[in-house]
Amino acid sequence: MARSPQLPDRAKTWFSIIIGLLLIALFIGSFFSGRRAAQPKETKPAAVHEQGDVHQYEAQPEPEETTSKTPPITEEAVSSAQAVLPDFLKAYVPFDSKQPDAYVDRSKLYITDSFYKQLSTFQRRGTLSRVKTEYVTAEWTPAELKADEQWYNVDVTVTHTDINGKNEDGLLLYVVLLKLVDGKWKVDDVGIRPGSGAIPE
Amino acid sequence: MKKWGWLIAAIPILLVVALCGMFLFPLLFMGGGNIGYGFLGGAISPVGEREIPVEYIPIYKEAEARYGVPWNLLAAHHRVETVFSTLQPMISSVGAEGHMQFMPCTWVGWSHPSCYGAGKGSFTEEEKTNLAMIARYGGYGVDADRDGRASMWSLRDSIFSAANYLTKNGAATGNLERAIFAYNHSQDYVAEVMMYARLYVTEGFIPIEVIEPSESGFARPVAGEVTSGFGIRIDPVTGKPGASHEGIDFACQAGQRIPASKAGKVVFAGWQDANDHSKGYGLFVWVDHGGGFKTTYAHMSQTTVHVGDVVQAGDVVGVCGSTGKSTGLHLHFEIFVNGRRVDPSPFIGL
Repeated sequence: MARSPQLPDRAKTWFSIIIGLLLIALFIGSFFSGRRAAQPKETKPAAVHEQGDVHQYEAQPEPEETTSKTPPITEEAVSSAQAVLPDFLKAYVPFDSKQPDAYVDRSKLYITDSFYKQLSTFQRRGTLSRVKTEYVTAEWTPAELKADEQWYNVDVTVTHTDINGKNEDGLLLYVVLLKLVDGKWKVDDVGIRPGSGAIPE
Repeated sequence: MKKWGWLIAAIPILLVVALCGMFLFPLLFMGGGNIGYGFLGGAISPVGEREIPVEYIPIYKEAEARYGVPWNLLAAHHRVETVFSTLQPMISSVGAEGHMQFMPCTWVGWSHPSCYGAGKGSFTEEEKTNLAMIARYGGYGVDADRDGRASMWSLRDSIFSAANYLTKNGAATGNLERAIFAYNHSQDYVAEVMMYARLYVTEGFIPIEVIEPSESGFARPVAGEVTSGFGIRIDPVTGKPGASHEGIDFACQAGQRIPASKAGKVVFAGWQDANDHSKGYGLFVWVDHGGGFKTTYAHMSQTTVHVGDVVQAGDVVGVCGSTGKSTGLHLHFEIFVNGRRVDPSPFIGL
């Protein structure tokens, strides 16, 4: 069988070993240079220098590009959006295990069609420790405000009743998404924040 | 010789592949973001010791060993469903039965011809425990006490069956919320089960926030005393969580100017509810700092910026007040990261 005319086998072997070692070196080098680039800048928190009652700050870099590209939100839009919350919560929160779907029907007026469909898909089941839940009060603060959708953190104080009629106070920590649909603000989703189920103060 | 030579040449390539594996494999298990979460499971907490009947714990743990569902999650379900089988009779108004409140169709199998709607089905008592029937219709009932029947009224059977159901809905692979929601289609139910699961272990499911203060660039907005910290207050007696406070309150004085904590762009300045000044934040300013960060300056008596203004750290955004839901002069300061409020303390060096 004819041998390769270009390079002897021994040279090929050594050539391959050298290339292999170079590859390893390149890989390790790029890994550590990548890590160096990823390390955070050691920018210390700005120091506050007291001068009378005014806090002076060290020079700060220009603000990074902000994420908000949407048109500015107005006080009126915020007020009108959250106006739907009291009625919605009074419809959505109360629950009676004898009529587990009633809350969905009561809420229909205040929620989007897609959320209504979502709520209607699954049937909620009361537990023996929560056969009934009654709405007491609610408070909320905005979490995200946009022209056509707004998020609110809503804290609802409730009273639960167990199967033996014993009452217990509870706190439901919701995240409520409101959407502007045909000029009306409606609830499009309700989620739970960590800590829900807590005891109100 | 030629054959061995190429084998030697292949060694460095194999080394490269091995090194790649060594470096990349751990990355698969590293979180991408700055904020991560703990996990369920672990040693029983004082609250767990006080609440959970001691004889039930080995059963939860055996079920955990068999199905991979954390024992405290099973205990939490048991607590929420029947308060550890103390609420009698253990039949709900929609027909859920037994210690863990299974619907008969979930227990025997939804492919049974009588199963629809809520899942009460039409079964005789014997049919509900019949292992052949459960196997035939794909139910979740399990004969854990090895008496030849799977009964919703057997504590052991029902706990193992709950674990069986939860693991098949993702609990063993970390999809806890999905699994709990499958058990009962209610967000409130999910929240309550998660709350008890967290309370029952010492080190389980405590949200772990990993942040890098040196990166933040946020400054403490005012030097006043911290009058209320961030987080959920735990009742020292019951161990249960109380109301949450998702920011930090600083004492401030009437007329005191409130500076921005970091450079950014004002995205809101005004009343939370222009029709009712007693609501929530009252008069507040939001500054967007880019990169998903936003700060709140709430309960102010006056704002000194407008939407669209670009501010530097230290620029005054308003004046200390007590508007909104407030009982005295203070600044309520928050940091949002990607729409979620986080503890500002480490960002501002507290």
